[in-house]
Amino acid sequence: MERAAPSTGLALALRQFRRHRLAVWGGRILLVLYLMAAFAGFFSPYDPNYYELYPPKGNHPPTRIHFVDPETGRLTRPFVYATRRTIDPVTLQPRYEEDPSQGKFYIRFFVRTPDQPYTLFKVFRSDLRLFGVDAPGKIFLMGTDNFGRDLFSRVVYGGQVSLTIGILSALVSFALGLLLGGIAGYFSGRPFALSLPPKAWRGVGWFLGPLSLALWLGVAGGAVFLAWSFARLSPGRDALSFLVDGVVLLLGVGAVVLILRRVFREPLRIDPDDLIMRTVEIIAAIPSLFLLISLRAVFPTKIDPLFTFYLVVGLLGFIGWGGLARVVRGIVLSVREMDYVQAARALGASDGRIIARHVLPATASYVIVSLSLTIPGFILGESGLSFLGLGVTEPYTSWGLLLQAAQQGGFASFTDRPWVLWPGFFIFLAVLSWNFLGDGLRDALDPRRRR
Amino acid sequence: MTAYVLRRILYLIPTFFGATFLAFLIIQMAPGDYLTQLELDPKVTPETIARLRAQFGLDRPVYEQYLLWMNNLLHLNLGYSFAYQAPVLEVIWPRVVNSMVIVIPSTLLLYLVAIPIGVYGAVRQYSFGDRLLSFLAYVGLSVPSFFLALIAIYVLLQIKFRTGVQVFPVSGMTSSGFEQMPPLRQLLDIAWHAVVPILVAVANDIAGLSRLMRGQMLEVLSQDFIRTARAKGLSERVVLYKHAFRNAVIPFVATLGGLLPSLISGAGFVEVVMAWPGITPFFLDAIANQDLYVIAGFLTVSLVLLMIGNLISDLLLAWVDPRIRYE
Repeated sequence: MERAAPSTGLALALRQFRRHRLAVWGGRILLVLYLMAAFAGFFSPYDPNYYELYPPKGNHPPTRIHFVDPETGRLTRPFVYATRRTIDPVTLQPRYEEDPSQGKFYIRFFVRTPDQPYTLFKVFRSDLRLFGVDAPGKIFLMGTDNFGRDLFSRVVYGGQVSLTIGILSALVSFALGLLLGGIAGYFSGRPFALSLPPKAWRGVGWFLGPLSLALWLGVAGGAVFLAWSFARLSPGRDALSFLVDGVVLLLGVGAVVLILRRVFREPLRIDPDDLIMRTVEIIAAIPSLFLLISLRAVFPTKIDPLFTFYLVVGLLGFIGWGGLARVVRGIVLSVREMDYVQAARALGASDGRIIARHVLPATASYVIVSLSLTIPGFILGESGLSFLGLGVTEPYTSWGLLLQAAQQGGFASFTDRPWVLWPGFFIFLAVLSWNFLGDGLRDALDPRRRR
Repeated sequence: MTAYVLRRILYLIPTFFGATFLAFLIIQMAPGDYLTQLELDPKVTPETIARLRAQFGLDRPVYEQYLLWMNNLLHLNLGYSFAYQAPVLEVIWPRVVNSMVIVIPSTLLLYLVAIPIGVYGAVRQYSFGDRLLSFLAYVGLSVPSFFLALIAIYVLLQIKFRTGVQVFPVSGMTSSGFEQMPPLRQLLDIAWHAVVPILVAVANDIAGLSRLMRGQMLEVLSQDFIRTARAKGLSERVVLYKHAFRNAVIPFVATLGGLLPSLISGAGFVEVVMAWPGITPFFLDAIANQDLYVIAGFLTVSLVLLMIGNLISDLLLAWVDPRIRYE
């Protein structure tokens, strides 16, 4: 017998989501990736910054895992051999050969590594690791970097940065986009008064009035000063220059006249919608990759790594809020005119209550969907920035930064050691999963797309 | 309509000043200036630095530098590159042309491939082909372009090592001995070098555009007038291409204007990874050198193109869609 149709919207959405198989798989993969990042110490066999000075293990290829015992020819517990390092006489690159004389090193699970402890969530100290082999054997699932640090461990730890930066920057850009887009939409057509004419100076106005007057007179003065400086600095002495100077001076004087005429008679009003949307336009007008790089250049390259992390979060968030603000503004503008909102207003509800109870919930499904669809974009943005060496810095690592190693040292670096490309697959996997998840959420939450 | 266009142009003026000022401010906020690196050189005396700084106008207050620069801009003079000792336009232009070698073909390819894919996906919704193409579209959307470029390089190099055949070069824009080639060979040589960067550059965008096209087409196909068209016995071909397709492409007309700035803003990471001498690596260098007017000049040009592009988009949209009216 068929189950009764679920009544709540949430159950309906959930059922719809489950039908999107790729989205469910995306969710599962993300769960695994985030768990790996959260318990990075447990899942990584080595400390991400650990390397041996002697014998050096730089640029070690992935360790081969044997399942067949060469002596008996039978299946056995998986084991690895220790490796011996030689220098290739032609290319002078290190080469590693398996050395069966040191015996077999069986892969053991839930091993303890007292010499390499880690902390979980910055609180719990532990040295239990999912798998490992006894020293002096080494297991490098994805090889090592040029220092001899285990790439798999670094990928697991890099996920912490790459995966959280995506979410954090999305949250930053959403906070900005919702706030500013909401203000623009809700208060569109209800301009804020930014000055008080002298005849309205009463009460607090005795304080705010002169203040606003001084402010606007300052603006007027600034306009004149800039226009005059422009004419003064004009390098040319030809007709065109004089024309340009004249126009600029005229503009400056015009601005002053406009301000002076208004400021004494009626309040100067500025529509927040205009102000915010103009700002969005200005930010959107600069190509985003170049804006990102230019903004990054404002801060020195060699600064505190933790600060760099938050800087990247902030920059990505700052770049991304414009488009969202535009859409939120549109939604809010239409919700504002709905009958039920008008009814609430007629009943005397305050702006705050209307926003909280009626306007914000209307944007919720859009926000959830576009949140999950913008996160992959931010993960890509972070990896790109780190790939250029402008993102997170050592000792933190991220997938983009790890992939940068492939770029350093010319093409030889990854024709000889293709394993440096591994972090790229993780970026790809995470972004793909987020995309599927977002797509599934969109189908689930949008009634028109249900099938 | 004329009033609308005029108002749009008037609105562009504050945006233009705002964005150029923002760009200028961002560059100026970076610590130090172009001469900071020169100061570290013990052979250069402080007097020389001071003289150069005065010559470049770097000793003036920021607002004066901006006004001076803006003044020159209104004379169509983008300023002077410190690092190359040449006018900015002369320095930037060859790089932009190099980038266009990738950008123009990849844009054409993008529209030629993505739109048919999107239409196919909508017409055969949920068929095997649609599912496969959708999946591939997501894959393309999710691969970072620099990673795709790295993989392409790896595969090409492996082919070269295994078989000794160089299918496509993996870096640069010209082969060695380019100068001695006859003009036609030079052209072919550049085209040969450009194939892989073009393909890599187009991979990400195909996904997005074809998904959009598919969604648009589905939206239109579900509307009443399509049912009417079918009901009155029109052939499926006419329904699809005369009624549905024409309506579905309308939003894409709006994106055409956006192509104008992308013509000069380069192909992005592909250029960096594949050592293509385009605008992106050049811009990164300029930022690292704090070559003030190169950065500001480039941002300004792309800004102007973006604004013109948006204007063209709106006009095109009004032209193709008679429902849109501007009063």
